[in-house]
Amino acid sequence: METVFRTSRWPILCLVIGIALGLCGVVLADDNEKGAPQEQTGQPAAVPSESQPGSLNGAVAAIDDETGELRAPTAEEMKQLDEQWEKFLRSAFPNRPSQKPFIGRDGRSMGVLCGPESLEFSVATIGPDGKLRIDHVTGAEQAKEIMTNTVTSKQDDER
Amino acid sequence: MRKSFSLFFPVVLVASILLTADLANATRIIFNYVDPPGVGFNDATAATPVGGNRGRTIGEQRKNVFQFAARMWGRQIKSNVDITVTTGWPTLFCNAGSAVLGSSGAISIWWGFPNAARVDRNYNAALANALARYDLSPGPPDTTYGVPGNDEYLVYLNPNIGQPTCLAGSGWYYGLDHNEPAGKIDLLATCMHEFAHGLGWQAQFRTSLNDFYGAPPSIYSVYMWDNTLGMTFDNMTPAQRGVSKVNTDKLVWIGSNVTSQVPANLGPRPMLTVNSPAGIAGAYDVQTASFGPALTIAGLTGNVVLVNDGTGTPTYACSPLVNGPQVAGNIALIDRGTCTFTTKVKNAQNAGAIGAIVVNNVASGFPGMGGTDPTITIPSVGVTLATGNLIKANLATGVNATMALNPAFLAGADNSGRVLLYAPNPYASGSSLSHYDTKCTPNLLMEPSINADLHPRTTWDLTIVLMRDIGWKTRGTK
Repeated sequence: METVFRTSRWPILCLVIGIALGLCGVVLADDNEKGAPQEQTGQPAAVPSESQPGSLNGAVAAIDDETGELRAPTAEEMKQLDEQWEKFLRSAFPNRPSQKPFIGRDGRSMGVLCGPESLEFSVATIGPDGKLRIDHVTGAEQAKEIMTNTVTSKQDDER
Repeated sequence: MRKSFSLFFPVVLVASILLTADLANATRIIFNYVDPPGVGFNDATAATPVGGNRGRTIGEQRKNVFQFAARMWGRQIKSNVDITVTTGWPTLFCNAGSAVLGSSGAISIWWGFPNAARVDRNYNAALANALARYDLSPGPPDTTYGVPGNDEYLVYLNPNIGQPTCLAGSGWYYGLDHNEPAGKIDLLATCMHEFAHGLGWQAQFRTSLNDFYGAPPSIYSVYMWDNTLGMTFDNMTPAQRGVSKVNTDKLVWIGSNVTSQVPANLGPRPMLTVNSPAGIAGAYDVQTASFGPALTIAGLTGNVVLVNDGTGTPTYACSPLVNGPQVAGNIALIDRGTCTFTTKVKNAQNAGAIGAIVVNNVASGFPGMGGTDPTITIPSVGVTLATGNLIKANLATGVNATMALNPAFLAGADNSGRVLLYAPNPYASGSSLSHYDTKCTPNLLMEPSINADLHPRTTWDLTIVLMRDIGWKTRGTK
């Protein structure tokens, strides 16, 4: 589905509103919370077709739901983490781009399709102090690493 | 009253016309929603309007936040080519204690197109189109590789944040006022940040090979300067980039638009100034702690005293100090290790110290002094192992120092006033060259952490000026 933010309607609308508010002696305020006109068209979601590498390695820790303390993840949790990561990579990148340069349709420009290694990831973790921490990392593998190591790293940073 | 009205009306009318012209020039950002029915942007779960977001369902509120962010960005950057964003809320990786909030980035990078300042450098798709003034990859989304190849960038977000199995207890805040409750994550701030990456705030650097995905170096890398190597990132060999990417505190942004605005956006730098002995006198960089009071311009001055907690490793301050009389009224010098930073500083405080210095226990960088303890009332800083050893070597003759904010230097900039890029060592700990350094104070939108004090709705800090450096025509530029 596609939604188009049509700025073309806003100039006329704002001019009318501005004149009206001016006559009333009211300053025109930023109307940021108003929903923009929308239009939706169909766009199918990508269908996974090829597995991507992404097994979990390295130090992993979990937080006990009751005590908030660090503990080792169970085998089942490890399996779940691994499966989730695989699922994400498959859904986001069912076919990893070759990253080989190609000639653009104008016949002069060159391009490369980026893959998961180039994406910026926002990763949130709850630290040993119970506080939320948000980090940004580059690349899917880095995101996985910070998720599976942050608790341990944070623990190190506390000392 | 009549006179007042007659003056007011023209002013408002002119303002309206200017706003009209501004919106007419706004860049169109189009969302290509890829969520299936009932999911993500199509989530029909009822929601209560919050923080200026009038959406009545979760899906509507999510769309409103995205469109608000699009309007904000669309007013700042100029392009006569529509920018199409693939976006959705797929199930992303998470567990109870950690989660991928979202991911973003350019879908393709380009070079060799018309009007580029550097034909031998790569640009992200949105900027390349803006400069070329035509769509380099027109047509409907090409999903050959899953990622729609003809869209300019993508933003994926995690719909499950706050669920019991996904960062339990947290959740997205859909308001437009940056007024999220504690523990909630401001979706608008996240969007503003992610959009920046999609629009070009990316080094486009492949860390595994220290190259640029087989493309020429990115235009972003043209402005990354390594103070040690004395060269820009784009001109380095892969081996040099491998060194530079973890050259903490030495990698800076040298674009003129950013550099000219650094003094207006960064505050004074926290530093440790050794007053005596003369042999080591001078200002030393420090890293502040996340707990205790902040340093001030006036700061605090005292003699530096090495702590003794009476244990086998007496300088760790993991137990109550046994040399309290010596520490009282002075600055405690503590070694990193074994117990938490808060424990160390609290023990120094209990002994009467007026401040504390924690010395790193590894050769590289500063101790990241995290932790929380509201009962700590003295400031503390971390220093490098080298600085700590220098101080220790002179303790016999007495060291007097001042912990303070130094207005002669800027927090998050090098000594030449150029903002630092985030390049921690080791790289694997979650580094990225595509952010400003965490030492920047006040916090910036494009630091690697989204902080609660960010208000991208009202300030662009050093964000837009970097976009200008890499080639974007922005509001106020021709």
